[in-house]
Amino acid sequence: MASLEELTFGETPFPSAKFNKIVRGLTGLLDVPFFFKINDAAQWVLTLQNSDPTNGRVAIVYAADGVTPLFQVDKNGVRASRTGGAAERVLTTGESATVTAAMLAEHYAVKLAELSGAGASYDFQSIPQTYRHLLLIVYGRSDTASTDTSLVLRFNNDSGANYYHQKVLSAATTSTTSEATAQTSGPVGVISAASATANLMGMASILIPHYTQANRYKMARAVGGEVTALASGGLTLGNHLMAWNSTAAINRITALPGAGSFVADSVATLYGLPS
Amino acid sequence: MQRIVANVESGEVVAVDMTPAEVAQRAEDEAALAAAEQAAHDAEAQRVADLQAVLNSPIVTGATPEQKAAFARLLGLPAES
Repeated sequence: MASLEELTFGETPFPSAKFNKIVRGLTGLLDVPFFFKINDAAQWVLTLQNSDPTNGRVAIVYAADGVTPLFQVDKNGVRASRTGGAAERVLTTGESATVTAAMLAEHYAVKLAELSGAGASYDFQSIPQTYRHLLLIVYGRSDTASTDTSLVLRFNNDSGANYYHQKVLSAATTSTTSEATAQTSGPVGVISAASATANLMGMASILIPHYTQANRYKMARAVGGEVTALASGGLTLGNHLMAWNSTAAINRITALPGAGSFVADSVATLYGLPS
Repeated sequence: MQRIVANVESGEVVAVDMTPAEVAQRAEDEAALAAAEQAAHDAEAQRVADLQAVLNSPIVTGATPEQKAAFARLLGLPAES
């Protein structure tokens, strides 16, 4: 690797060769690195400015191919490439320089909590009231001595007869529809249990819209199913709608098997969804 | 018996032993759900019995086996009916 030589003040004759090395190095013609260092609390180590108001191109950093921009700064702000491909907008001038959790929550689903393992119930307490909707995904199996059992929810630890539901369960070529009113918990799915073939599970994807709404009753819509045997009739598709007779905002969700307890490797994940 | 609890705000997760009252409540819940599911099962059984009665009524007794099978499918009866 080429290296630069230090210029000596007053050196004669003028050391054009040394100076030329610096110029060639700055223009990229020599394979020499440059290092700028100061020790000053007030000054910037490097200041760049392009007074052109049209594009304001200030700096660009290329990938090894010398063509792909990894990072660039111009009048639009900062752009960077995450993949070595096209540089993408990071922030434009005038925007906040900090991406906050609130900003993420505005645009992306946020995993709030995940509970798993053997237990009588999965209980999500102190749910923040900052999201628009909630999504609860349950993957589970019960230890009750049966082929399967219901998956039920309870909101805000309300054990009163305030839950209503309508469901369709389909297995093989047959669908059955049923309803129940004024229940003490709300069915949102079916999960396999101890008499099902080993290691087969049930699942439910449960959407709880507008859970912070404090004037109207809440509801949950779930799609899911269970596999109790790898044979005809062993797969049940579940489609549930559940209503909760309360105007209270939901700050706690308890998921539990209709009978028995969740077995090991069961898991429930709660997400907050943006508007 | 334990229940698994998350404080979503703080991120804390703990396993909590259920109190006797909670265990009793759980038993009540299971009984209530079982009763509701039995009621739904009975209602479904009655629906199937009603449809079966239709299938065996003079409305279709003169039909061919294939026609009766098609009628059963239309009624949503299990394949073995």
